[in-house]
Amino acid sequence: MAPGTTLAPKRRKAEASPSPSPSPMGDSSDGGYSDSDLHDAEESFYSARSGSEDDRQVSSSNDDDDSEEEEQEEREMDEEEDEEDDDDEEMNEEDDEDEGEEMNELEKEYRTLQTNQQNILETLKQHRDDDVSKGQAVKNQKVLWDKALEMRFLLQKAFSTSNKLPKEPIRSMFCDHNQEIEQAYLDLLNSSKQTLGSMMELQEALLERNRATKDVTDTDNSSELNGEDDEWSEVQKLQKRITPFRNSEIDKWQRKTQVTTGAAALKGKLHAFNQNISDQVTSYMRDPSRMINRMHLRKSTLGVFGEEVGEHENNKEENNTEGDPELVDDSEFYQQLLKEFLESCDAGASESAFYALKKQQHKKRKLVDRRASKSRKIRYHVHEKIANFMAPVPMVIPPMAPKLFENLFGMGNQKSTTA
Amino acid sequence: MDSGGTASPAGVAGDGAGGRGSVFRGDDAPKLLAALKEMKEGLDLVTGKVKALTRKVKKNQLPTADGIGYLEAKHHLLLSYCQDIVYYLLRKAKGLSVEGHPVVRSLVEIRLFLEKIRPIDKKMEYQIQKLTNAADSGAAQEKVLNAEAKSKDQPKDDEDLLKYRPNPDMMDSKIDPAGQDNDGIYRPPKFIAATMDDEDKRHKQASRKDKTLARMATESSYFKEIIDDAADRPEELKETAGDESREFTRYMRQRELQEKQEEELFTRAPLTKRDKQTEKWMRKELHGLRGLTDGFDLGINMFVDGDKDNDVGSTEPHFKSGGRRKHHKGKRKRH
Repeated sequence: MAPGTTLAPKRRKAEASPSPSPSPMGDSSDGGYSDSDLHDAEESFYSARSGSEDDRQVSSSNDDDDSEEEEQEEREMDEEEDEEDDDDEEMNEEDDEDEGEEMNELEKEYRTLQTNQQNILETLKQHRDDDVSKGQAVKNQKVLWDKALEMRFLLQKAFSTSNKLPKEPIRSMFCDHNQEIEQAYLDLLNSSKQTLGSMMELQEALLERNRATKDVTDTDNSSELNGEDDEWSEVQKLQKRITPFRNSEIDKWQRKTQVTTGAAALKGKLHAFNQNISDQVTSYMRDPSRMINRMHLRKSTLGVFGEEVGEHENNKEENNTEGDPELVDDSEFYQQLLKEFLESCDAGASESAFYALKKQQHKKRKLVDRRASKSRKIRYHVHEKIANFMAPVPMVIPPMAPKLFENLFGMGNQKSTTA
Repeated sequence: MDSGGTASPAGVAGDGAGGRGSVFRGDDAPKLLAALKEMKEGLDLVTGKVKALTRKVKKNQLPTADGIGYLEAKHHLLLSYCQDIVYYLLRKAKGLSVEGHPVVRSLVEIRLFLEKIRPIDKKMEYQIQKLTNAADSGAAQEKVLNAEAKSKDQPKDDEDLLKYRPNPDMMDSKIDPAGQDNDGIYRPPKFIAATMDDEDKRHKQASRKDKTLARMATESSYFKEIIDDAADRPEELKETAGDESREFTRYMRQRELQEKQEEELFTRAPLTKRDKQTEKWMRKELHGLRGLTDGFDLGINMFVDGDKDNDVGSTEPHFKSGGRRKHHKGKRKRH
């Protein structure tokens, strides 16, 4: 039967082909017209070919899709049958008791999961709360440090002025000479004692508030009490109370920073530098004379009240160039603290300062006409108005001019010679 | 001279010293008075600030128990240093000697500590800033926490209610197997309905065959000659001597179309290098012998069963999909 099917479309084509034959027969008388008919036929062939190609592509894709879909359907049918068989078996096997036990197990699992989640949330919240409280405490510690710096800055002027005060015999003379000076001295002594007392009170309050420093107790007795050094004994007592806490904390944090920065690798080398800070300071304090001498001032540079004659005598007698041990100054350290304070202020406001500088830079841009370059604009210079200017007037030549010019430089003689 | 007279019992030296001292005292007295007053004012200012701070600390407005021990030690050191300075002032005001007194040693010691602490300070800077930021954000979060605390009561109630919800579902599942067990009737499983008709496939295949035959009629010269003879058309002049290959005929058709368009528009279309190469390659085809192999497909289809038609159809898209150059290379290899 197959060859029969193949022959049928050919017959159809043969039948279709004679149908256009009458039209060229009618026009066969003209050659040009016959050529145009041939072109039309060719065009029809081209259009038919393109159409057939497009349809063929579409049809092929459709067939592929259909075959794939049918395969998927068959697979799904098989799977469904298997699933239903499994369900039937499970239903036959299950009992009420098994279901009850499973329910209990599920409830237990649910409860354990819920408790675990709650525990995790609580721990996270606790960590956050701890960080917040610690941050607040650190903030307060910074405030206290700033207050202490403020005290130091305010005391500097009084500290430097104190070196100008006279010693005992001259001081008594000044007091005898003037009642106001004596009263001023008494007021100064009272206010300084008050200041010292308030500072010590503050430090004691701070020690009581902080838990870590509460353990530090006063073990010394009051054996050192003297009439003259009553204040100093109190100051010293307070400092001794702080010393162990101070040393332990500083050494602890030094070790922490060393470990974090990886400095522990250098443990074998530079042994002197890797000591604890408290040990370094202790070893240095065995002989602090070098630093103390550096802190001394000279009488010549500082004008002590009522000491000018003494100065001259000292210069004549001793020719002493070293500083006076009675005059102590620490301006170097004071300047260091100031510098640190200013740097910390800059660091604190770094962002706003940076943006402010950026704005200024932006505003300070130079005013330049950018379109004037590369001959984009016509450049000209406006000059002053012309003063004392007269328009040119045509010159009137007198009639004797040509004759005059002929006789210049002996032109007439040359002509005569040539003639 | 009156003062000198009062000091006369001390001796001649005493008289001289007294006289000179009195002269210089008169000069320096007002400066000394001014200096003393200035120092007093400074100390009073410091005292006021210190007392205010002490009041705050005693009211526990600045708690530092949870803070970093290092910072605590640091500000205690500076406070002790200030105390030493004030004591030094006190001693100077009394007119006492300072040489050899432990206050100077104490100043030196504290200064050394504060200087040696500085590198630790720089290393700790990041950590301190981090905690400070935590404190700032913590204050904002406290408000959020209060809101959360209020909303926490509601979800708890919902959770309690949810515990009761799944129980009725479990009750429903018990009834189904009991119902099935009670009935003795067998019920077959259900699945998607399937169509048993294949007429669509047959129609598609038939249409595809017709299309392929039509395309062959347009492309192959053999069929074209038959059709032209039937239509009594005049013979067409050809440049080639023998049969033409498919690529050649397609190329010539495209060239004819392009030339027509160029004549209508009175402009010559620009040719790319690729176009020139194809033209050069096609001119070699003028002998026309390559076309002899094209006709075999038609001959085979005429004598073989219908199953082979599928194969012919399947090969065509592969042939079309391949690039032009690839096809050319294959032909060259055959030679």
